[in-house]
Amino acid sequence: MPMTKTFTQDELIRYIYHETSDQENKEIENALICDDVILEMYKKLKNTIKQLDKIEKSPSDQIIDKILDYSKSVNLNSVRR
Amino acid sequence: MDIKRISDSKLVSLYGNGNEEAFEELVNRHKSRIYTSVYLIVKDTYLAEDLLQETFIKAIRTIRGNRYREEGKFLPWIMRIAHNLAVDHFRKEKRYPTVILEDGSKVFNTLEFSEDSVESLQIVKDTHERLKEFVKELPDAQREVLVMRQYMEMSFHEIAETTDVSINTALGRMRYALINLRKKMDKYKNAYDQNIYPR
Repeated sequence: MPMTKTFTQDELIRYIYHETSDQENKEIENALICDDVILEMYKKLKNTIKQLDKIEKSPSDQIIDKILDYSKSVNLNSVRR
Repeated sequence: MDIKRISDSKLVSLYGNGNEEAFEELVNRHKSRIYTSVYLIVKDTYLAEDLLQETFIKAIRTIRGNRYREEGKFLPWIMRIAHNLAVDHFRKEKRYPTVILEDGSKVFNTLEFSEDSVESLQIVKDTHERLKEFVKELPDAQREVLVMRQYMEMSFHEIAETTDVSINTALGRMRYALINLRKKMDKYKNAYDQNIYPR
């Protein structure tokens, strides 16, 4: 049985953010199936990153209105000059 | 034509020709991501809104002034403006901000739970609020990389170039940020559970 390559957390982070090559993807996915330690490490990182996705905040409507009003007030010709 | 289906690059082009609806769509599409990035850097909701406004004003002037040259890459471009403004702000102030919560208070309160917090929705909300605080508490270098990768969608290569470090250093900072957050969330969760289910 071929040995599974060991991966570091940094490599898993790159994998989660889709920054690994096709070859690396294959190797990591193979490791995730065969190695419980890697799988556990991956789950923890993935879960933390998933949580970060949920904390996006929205600015107030007032500030958005101000931005849109500013845009409308901008005179196209005066800016281009 | 459904404006929500139009690409950023096309919206920028339409807006450059005076289409305000296109600009409104760009603002609505990206306001939360930009605002969250700035907020997690400056840690103050009011200042983050000021910087968001300043960011869009710069974008308006650039696009309307026909000086926008990064077609198809609107989000990274405007994120860079926002990030630079946030960093410039601290260079001018020469100080690090205190942590200001959304209700205006400056402290990270000890864990207190009301009756309502037992409700699952409230728990989720509390957890997210706490996570925001934990992100804000990260060391500057770790928080910077985390915000750039997670919210500004910059690659580790771009982050390394922007922050003038190696890719390995950028990755290491991200790793420590995630480990720190994980530890804090686990600790918070345990405290939460013990408060609700005392032994």
